[in-house]
Amino acid sequence: MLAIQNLSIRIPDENSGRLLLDHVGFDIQKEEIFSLVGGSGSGKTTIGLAVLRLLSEALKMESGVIKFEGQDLLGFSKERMRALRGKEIGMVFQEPLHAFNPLFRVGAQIDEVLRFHTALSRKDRQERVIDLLRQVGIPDALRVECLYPHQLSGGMRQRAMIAQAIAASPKLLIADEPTSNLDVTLQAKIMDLFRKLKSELKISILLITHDLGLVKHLADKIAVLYEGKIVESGKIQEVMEHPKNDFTKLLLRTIT
Amino acid sequence: MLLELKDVRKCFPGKRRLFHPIREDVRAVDDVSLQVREGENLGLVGESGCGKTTLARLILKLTPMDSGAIIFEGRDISSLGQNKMRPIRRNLQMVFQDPYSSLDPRFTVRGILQEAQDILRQDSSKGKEAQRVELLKAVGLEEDALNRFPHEFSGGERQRIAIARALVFNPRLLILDEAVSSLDVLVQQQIIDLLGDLQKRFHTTYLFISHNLRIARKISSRVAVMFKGKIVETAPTEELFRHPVHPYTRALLSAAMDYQVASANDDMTLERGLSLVEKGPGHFVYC
Repeated sequence: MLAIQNLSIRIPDENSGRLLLDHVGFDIQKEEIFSLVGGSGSGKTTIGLAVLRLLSEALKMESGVIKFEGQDLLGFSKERMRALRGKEIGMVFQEPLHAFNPLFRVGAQIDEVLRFHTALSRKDRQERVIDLLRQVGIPDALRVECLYPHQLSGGMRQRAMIAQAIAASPKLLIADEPTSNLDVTLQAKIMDLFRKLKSELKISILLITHDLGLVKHLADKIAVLYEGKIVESGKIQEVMEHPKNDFTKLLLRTIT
Repeated sequence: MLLELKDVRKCFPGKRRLFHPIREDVRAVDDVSLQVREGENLGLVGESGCGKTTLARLILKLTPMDSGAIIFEGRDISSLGQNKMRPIRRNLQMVFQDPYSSLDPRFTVRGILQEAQDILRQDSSKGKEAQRVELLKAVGLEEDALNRFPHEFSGGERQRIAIARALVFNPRLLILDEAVSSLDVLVQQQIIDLLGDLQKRFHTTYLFISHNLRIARKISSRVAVMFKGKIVETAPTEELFRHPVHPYTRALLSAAMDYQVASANDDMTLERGLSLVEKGPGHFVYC
């Protein structure tokens, strides 16, 4: 589904610069939850942004291939990329308050995705927005649709953003620290929702997080990122039970 | 007993609704009784909105309470005015959740620590500079940090600065309100290790507030679980983990340990009017 090979990205400066990502590669299969785990500054977010080609122009991509369903994303034109974002690959960001536009109602912002990517009529779109909000576990969707982002609680906002990300039925969802600002009770509920997205909507998920505990019972595979390098990867159970890398062991110790 | 709360209550006025003659108030803290002994670390755990932070603010008298009593160092501080509270707050410090908004961006670290030192009105300026350097070293920062501004530091480093500021007073009780929640897991561990080291050195008692039982476990000898303004269970930490009794404690445990939703019904309700009953040695359950 998604294949990343040999991806290296550098921040240039007067000297040689600093490598943000150092020959990173992994594959995500269909209907798989793939977790990318590492500390802050390890380059996790950069990978997510690179897939969507949303990286800052200042960064230099030195090498690498990013393939989505066999097509080379790096060769896509800007227009083709725009058509792909949201339609084929959805994204959920860490801070939903910043990701939403504060001036528009939540429903309208979900509708925007539908307007751009689908040919549904106005009435159908309206129904679909309500449907999406219910799907992510917002019971009073009719009310929530008419609220502004700041009127929602953190957990609700994160759900609304997931609803927006899956609006155009993408095949892959990139979730970058989707629950880091939420309390554990809500985190558990969001993880439950991800499980549902995978089993019912057959969406593959790239879950980016610093918290191993979060992915322990959820992900199929894991890659551990340390200072821009993948230091360990494999089936989640295998890595959790027999970690080989010292950094993985350190991460594991934080969740006991 | 270092700190004792007796039936502390705080209500916030609820929203007025059309055609509803009675306004329903939010009971943020509902008749909470709690004791913190010298030298023990009490973890206060509950989901967001359960009243943890309000309780902390009531203890510091940053928010006035409706009824009840707060006894600190054997003295009833519930009726003290702001002026009389000031000397008491030296022994009762707080580290806030968000290290990005709790440090004044216009002050250097030297200024931040100095402001706290000035409240103590103590000896020479030489001694003060030495104390600042010593405190920074104690929290694992270098001396040159003194001349830098908060924005030059990472979240974890800022939290270290906030801890250093609280330690200026050498307080007997330090309230840590979600002090590590916004940090990444590795930095969380570092700060928790630091708090352990500091305790050996300064003999401060911690009231550790968190939404995450797994983190609270690392630092607390006893845990109190709060739900909708009520304490629903308190027990020594390991006892609580081995034998959680209240359904809400169980839900919190499975969320914190495995990120699993414990029960099918999302919204657990709380029966009012029950009381804490001792189920085992030091193990109290609201039932």
